[in-house]
Amino acid sequence: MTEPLLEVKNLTKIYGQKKNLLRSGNQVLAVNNVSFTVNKGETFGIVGESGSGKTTIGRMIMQLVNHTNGDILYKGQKYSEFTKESAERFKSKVQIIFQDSGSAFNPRKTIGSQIAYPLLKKIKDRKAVLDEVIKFIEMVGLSKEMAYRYPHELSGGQRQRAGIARALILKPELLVLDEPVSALDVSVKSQIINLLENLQKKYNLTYIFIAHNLDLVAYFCDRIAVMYHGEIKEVGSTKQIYQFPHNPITKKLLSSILTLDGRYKVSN
Amino acid sequence: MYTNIRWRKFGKYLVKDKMASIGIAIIMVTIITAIFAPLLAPYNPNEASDTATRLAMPFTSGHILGTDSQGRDILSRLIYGSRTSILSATIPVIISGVISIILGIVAGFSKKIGGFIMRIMDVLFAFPSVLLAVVIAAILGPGLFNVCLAMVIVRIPYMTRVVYTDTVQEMQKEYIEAASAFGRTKFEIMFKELLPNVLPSLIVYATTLMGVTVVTIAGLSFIGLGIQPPTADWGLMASNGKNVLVQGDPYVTLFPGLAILILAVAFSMLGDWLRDLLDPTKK
Repeated sequence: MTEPLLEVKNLTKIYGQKKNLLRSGNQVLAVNNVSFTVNKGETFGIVGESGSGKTTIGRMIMQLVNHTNGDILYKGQKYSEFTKESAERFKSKVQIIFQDSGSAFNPRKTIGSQIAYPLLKKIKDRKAVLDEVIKFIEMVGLSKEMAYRYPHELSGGQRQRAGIARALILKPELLVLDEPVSALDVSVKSQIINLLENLQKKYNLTYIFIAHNLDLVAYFCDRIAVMYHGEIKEVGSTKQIYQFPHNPITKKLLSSILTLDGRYKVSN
Repeated sequence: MYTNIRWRKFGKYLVKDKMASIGIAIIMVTIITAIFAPLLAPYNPNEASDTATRLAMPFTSGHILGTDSQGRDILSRLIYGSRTSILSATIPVIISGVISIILGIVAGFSKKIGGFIMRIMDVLFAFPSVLLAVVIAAILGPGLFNVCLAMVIVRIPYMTRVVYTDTVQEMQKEYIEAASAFGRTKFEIMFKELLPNVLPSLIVYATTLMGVTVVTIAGLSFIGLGIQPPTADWGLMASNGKNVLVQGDPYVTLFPGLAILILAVAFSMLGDWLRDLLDPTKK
């Protein structure tokens, strides 16, 4: 493996406000002292039950939420030390795909215009942008008429594809996948996963895959972090986690995978 | 893709929605009447034609809708009255709507500024709106312009509250987060992402307020703060007619009252139609 693309060191997030004269303190420790590294080209899975802080980590990596303590380093540069320029560059290099494609698009704007606006900031030529949007829409397996549709006119799977097109249009290096398929039904799920795999090869992408169950992660990820109550309980390669789980939480998660009769163990 | 395709379907929507067509037709007729009032009115609205024709019944002696207690032709006064009525119905509501949408979106977007804005609104809320309008109009002095200004101030807290509530609700949705992840600035999120989503309910509310505003301004005119007599105004006419109402001459009040009612209903039809037009899920 090459040098780490993203390093997370002692990351902590506390939601809520400190106690003061007017407010009773109501602080929640969402993420507690979390550290991991993500290497270039790999798929790093973060698994945990709902409320374990995995989505918060994704949001912090995206800079949608500020972290309370610790550091996140992108290519060795601390988030807190970003200049205006490097922050701008960073924003186009790290993108996110949301869980609920239904609410991730503005209901009153066409899909195409929503895919286009990150690019319109960089390129003023509208024709060129339109061509690029069509190219990406077709690449994720949608027909180009979809660009003129509104989000509610697309199915969940189509919307998620459009979400992928929107995330890819700025040619990112790192993609945060926040439970990208958990809202989809099974057949669509595997289509989207296949699409994500193909795109990873094509564009040499690095994925951070956030999920709440282990079965999909086992198939998709190179390394896995298991989270529980804001802490990382176990980090390791997929094989390690599956074959020699140390932490009881990992074992619990593994035992919750539904298989046909228990004989079909996931092999790597 | 960049232009709003829905506006191209404008005509199609209008034909399909009969209620909206009626509403828009009524508003258009009122506007045309207001513009061409001198050509349409059979008499001078402010001049009593003849002392003998006071309180004439409708369809008598050349006065189609009769005359009021001062012998003025009601039809002519209705035609001239459409001028102040349509102005006082639309302009204050539109101005306070524009101010409210900015205040409401900013308040919903930023918690810090939002707390400040909404507390000011709460102070304005504490006064009954008519009382507040009376106070403002009394301070500014009588006249159509001052009354409209008073209405603007009085309506802002209500409309801001509508926008604010909607904005707070929309802020919870993921597309706002997505927009900021994909490089939208705060300004763009407020006025390109949130605005199209909070505008429809404000439009519906604003159009119902238009009808109410005509009546409120009539009330202010009645206590001498609004439009000054003898200027023809529907609200003023309805109020003046109440003196002779009990004497058995309901027409003096009836016709301007009907005119206000019809205009108010037309505005609310327009509002419903605009809301549907702006909603891409409605076909």
